[in-house]
Amino acid sequence: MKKRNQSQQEESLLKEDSEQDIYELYSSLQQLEQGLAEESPDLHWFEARVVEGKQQVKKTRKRSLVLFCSIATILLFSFGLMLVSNPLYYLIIQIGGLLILPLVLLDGHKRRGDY
Amino acid sequence: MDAKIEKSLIKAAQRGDNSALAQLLQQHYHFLRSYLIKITMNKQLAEDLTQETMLRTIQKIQLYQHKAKFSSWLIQIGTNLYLDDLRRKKTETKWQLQEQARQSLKWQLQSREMEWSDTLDALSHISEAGRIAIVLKHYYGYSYDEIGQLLAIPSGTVKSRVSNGLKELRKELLQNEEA
Repeated sequence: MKKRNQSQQEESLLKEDSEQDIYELYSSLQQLEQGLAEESPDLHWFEARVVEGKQQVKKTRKRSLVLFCSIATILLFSFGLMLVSNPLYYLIIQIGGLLILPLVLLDGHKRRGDY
Repeated sequence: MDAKIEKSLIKAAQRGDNSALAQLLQQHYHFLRSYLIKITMNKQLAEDLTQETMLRTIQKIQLYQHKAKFSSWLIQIGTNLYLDDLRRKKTETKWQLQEQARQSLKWQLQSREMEWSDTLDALSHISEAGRIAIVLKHYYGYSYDEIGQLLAIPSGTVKSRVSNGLKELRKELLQNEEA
């Protein structure tokens, strides 16, 4: 009985300590936020950032498209050549590709991280 | 910001309206910057990450699916960028940079006649994972499940990060007192 009372007292003291810590943490963080507060730049600044950002996206897409087309051309040319000269190798690579496809698709879904 | 207005701004931004997207970013700029200062404890890094988060938002606004608050989506992007940044830096360089950032933050607060409390000092010394979990739980009031969704980890892991983080914080405070 005495032991149980003691452990209950200790528990309630720990809880009080923890609440005190959290209160101090909250007020310290609030002070940090107030201390380093700065006014947001004006709307024109944000509009300029949006235009810049969208231009950057366009550039990246163009670059990716060029890269994709170049790789696709090289692959199609090599596979075409392989199909004519050695059809068995061509068949083995195609079957291997079909086996890997579900894994690649699953990984893509995981990485996208839609929210 | 009114939830209805925010929703209509998001929809307009997703249709390609630059002005709507700029308004959205302006409304959330202060919130995002102060969140990143709290988790990084580094003003310069927080400002760089704020810019980078805004750029990602511009690029990925079409992917936002209205399942969570827009501010939570920004927190998710910002936190992931911070974690990527930590992975890139070597441990030794990371420690030196963090120490310089801590001194600079302390000086900036004190120059505005505000107190650099022992709790802030202790918070800047604990692990990044613990600090992120503590700030999200005890400052922004997210539930364990919500934090789990934001950080893409199970809510049990969040619970242990918060609890270990608080333990680390108490240990740091105790060491400060003894010193």
